[in-house]
Amino acid sequence: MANEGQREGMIERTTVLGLVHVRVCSYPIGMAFSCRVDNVDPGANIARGRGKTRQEAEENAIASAELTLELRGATHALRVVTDRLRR
Amino acid sequence: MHGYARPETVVETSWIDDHGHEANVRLVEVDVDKFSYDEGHLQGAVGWDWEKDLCDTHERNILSKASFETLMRRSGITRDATIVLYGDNNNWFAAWAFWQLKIYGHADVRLLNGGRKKWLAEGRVLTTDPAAVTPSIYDACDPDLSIRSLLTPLMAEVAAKRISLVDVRSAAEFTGEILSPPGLPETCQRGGHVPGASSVPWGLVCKEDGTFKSGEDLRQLYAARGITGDKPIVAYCRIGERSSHTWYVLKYLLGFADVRNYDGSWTEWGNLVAAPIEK
Repeated sequence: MANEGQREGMIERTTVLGLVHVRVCSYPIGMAFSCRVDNVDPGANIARGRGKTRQEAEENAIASAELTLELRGATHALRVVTDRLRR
Repeated sequence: MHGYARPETVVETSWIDDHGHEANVRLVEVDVDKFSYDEGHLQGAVGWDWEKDLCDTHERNILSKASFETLMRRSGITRDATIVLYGDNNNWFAAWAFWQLKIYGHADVRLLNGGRKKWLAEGRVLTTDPAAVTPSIYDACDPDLSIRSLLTPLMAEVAAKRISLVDVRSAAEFTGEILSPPGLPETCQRGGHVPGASSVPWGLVCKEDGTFKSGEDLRQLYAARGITGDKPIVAYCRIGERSSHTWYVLKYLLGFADVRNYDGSWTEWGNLVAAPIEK
C-alpha cells in the first residue's frame, strides 16, 4: 500500500485491485464509517461500502470493487472474444 | 488569491463558515459518486445528480434552457444568488455544473477549493438533513455558446490549426492504449486523440489535498505544453466532464479569453467515420 496518509479522520491510500490502480478513501460519517473505492485516474467511483468500523467499511468497499472490476473485465473480454469469432 | 485571474470564483472552506448560511448563498453538491450527497452533505446544500439533473440523456446534450430553469427553481436559486459548487474528486462534476451555469448566464458562481475531499479531510461536519428550499423564480439567459465547442466548426478549426487543443484524459487514453479509464464503459470504437492535441491530464492542476495549484504553477504547466492563450483553446476528454474542469482552470484561474469545452469529446470524435486521429 502506497501513499498512505491520515487527515482528521479521513484516510486515503492507493493500491492495486487486479490490474487497476485504485484510491481507497475511508472516513467517519456519524457513528459509522464510509469507504469509497475510485480509480486513480480520473477518479471515477467504482464501489463504496459502509461499516461500524473503518476496517469493515473498507472491506465491504474493496470486496464490492473487486467484484465490479471482475464483471467489467469479463464484459470486455467477452466483447473481444466475440469480435474475434466474427472474423 | 494564489495569482488567479478571477480569484472571486473560488472560495476556501473557511468562507463557508462565514458566509454559507447567508440567504443569498446557495450551496450545491455535485459528485462523481452520486450517493455521496445522501450520505452526508454541507448544511443547507442541495444535491444535483449529474446523470439526471445536468444533462439531456435523450439527446445526449446539455440541459435545455427550460430544464435549466426548472433545476434552478426547484433548487431555490434566484438570478442574483451566489452559487457555491462543490463535490468529490477535486470538484470534477462541480466544474461541469459551473460550465452549464455560465452557458445560461448565471453571474455569481464559485467553486469550493478542494471540494468535498478537503471538507472531509479537515474533519468538518456533514449532515443528512435535507436543505430547506423555497422554489424560486428564475429566467435564464439565452445560452452563451461561445464557451462550447461543437463538432462541425471544431473539425474546420482542427484542420486549419487555428486552435490549441487540450486533451485532458490520461496518457494511456491519449495514446490509444486504452479506450476508457479502468472500470468505466468503453464508449468509442477507436483509441487515440484529435490531431494536434496536447496531453495535459486534468488532475495535474490540483494539489494532493484537492485544491488548485497556484496561478504561476498552472501557467507553467500549460506553457510547457504550448498552451499559452495565443490561440483559442478547446479542452476535451471522453464525455466532456473532465474537460469542463480544465476549462474552468484555463478561463477563470488563468484568465485566457477564448476557452471552450468540447463536450462531444472523444466519445463523439472517436466514433466518427473517416475523422482523422493520431495515436
